[in-house]
Amino acid sequence: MIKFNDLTKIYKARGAGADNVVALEGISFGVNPGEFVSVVGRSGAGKTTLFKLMLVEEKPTQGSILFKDQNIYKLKSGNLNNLRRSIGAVFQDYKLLPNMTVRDNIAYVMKVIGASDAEIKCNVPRILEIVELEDRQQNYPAELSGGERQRVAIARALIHRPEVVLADEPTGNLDPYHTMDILKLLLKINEMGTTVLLATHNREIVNKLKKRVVTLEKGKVTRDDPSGRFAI
Amino acid sequence: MLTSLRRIIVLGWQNLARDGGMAAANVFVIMIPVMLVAALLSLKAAGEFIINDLREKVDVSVYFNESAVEDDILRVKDKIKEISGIGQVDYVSKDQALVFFRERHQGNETILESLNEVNGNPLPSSLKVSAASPAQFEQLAALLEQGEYKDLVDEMNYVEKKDVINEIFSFMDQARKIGLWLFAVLALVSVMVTFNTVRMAIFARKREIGVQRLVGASRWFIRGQFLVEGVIFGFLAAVLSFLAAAAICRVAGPALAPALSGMDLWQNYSANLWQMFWAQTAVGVGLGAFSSLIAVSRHLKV
Repeated sequence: MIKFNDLTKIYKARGAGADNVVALEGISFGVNPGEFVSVVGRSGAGKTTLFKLMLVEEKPTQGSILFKDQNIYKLKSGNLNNLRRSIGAVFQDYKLLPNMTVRDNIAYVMKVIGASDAEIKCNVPRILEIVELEDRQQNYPAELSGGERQRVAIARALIHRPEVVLADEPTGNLDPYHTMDILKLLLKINEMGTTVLLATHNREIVNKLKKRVVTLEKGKVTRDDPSGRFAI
Repeated sequence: MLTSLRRIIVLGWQNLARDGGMAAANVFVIMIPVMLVAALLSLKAAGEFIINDLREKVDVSVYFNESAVEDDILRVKDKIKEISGIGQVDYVSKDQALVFFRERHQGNETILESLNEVNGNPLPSSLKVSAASPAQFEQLAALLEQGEYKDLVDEMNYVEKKDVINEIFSFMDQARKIGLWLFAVLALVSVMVTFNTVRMAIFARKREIGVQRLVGASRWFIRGQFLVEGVIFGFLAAVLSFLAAAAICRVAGPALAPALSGMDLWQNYSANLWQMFWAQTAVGVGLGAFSSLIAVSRHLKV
């Protein structure tokens, strides 16, 4: 379903005398439909860059990503929109829309994909209930705690039942209770056929999941373990 | 399609309503060039009024011989009126000329007494002619040189007035050009200020635009929201400018009338109310929409 082909991303240094930063170097691995893959590594290993490239937020210096056998960097604008709509992304920095309430942030994705008002009316309360934010739906992101924002971001990523979920440290700001709930949710949607890519540096989570683990170190894949062990 | 359009409009309106301070700043900044348009239209009307008034005052007189009878003079008047660009042509009979002369020199006993000493009315009949430019006076002079009229005409004071007339017309032409340039520069500056303010406001929402793109919103879905905002800003600015300009003309109009050759700005504004409203709306909405579209385009490349 997803193929990372010799993916390299180098950030050019802007300051005089500074060195270029190699974020990813020759990354190659594939993800099958319905698979759950944890991408692990220390901070700066390249996990977030990998997800940014997957969303075409940035372009690689070299290599390509094939999504359903199509090079995503050669997609026309309309097809790029469709690619992004088929991906539910949970960003490390949440990327919530500050001028919209919790409810509107979640409903926005449904509006973008052209869902009917009835669908929005039905699905938004349901996902708010799952992430336990029903009583916060009229609040703005600035009025929420880090954990609550994280849960809004997760709700937004899942509301339109995407084919792929990219979750970048989705439990980073959550307490153990909510961490387990979110993991259960990710596992549940994965069981329903959604492909999940989870970026984390949390050893405990990865070991509990017992799913395929791709380990990144200094921008390179150092381990691809189907048994689900976190080993750095 | 209709659902998307409705959502774009609703989202645009909601974005605007959520940040009242920013919306107010945008509206007031767009108001500046819109008010300049109102000022330009009013001053254009005032300028034309003054120039026409001045033009009416720049005239030459054609004096007729004693032998010329009224029918001859009226025939010459009709012929002069055929010259393209000729303005008012007024016939002043001998009797009227005498009345005017007495009125003009009322209180000057020496002149009035000397007039009494002359038997009869020594003043000739004349035609007072005004024109749009000196070229028409040249044509008039050429016409009166023709044999048919030469015997009727005693003299024409164009030659003496020629330099003054040319200077006045040249001044009016220069004043019009300088006014246009001044407004062009002011309009350009205010458009740039508006554009920059809208650009800054949209730059503050760069991240938000990026997020919308990343969750799959099409460029037009995002652009549309900003277009709606820009149109609403422009319309509100136009309405406020329309009301403010009306109030200024109403209050200052009578006071400025003496300086504008008697033209009342409020009379002109109220007589052209719809033209004023649509001109300001067109500029406000156009500027709001255009600056929003240009500013947002920079951030849609995500």
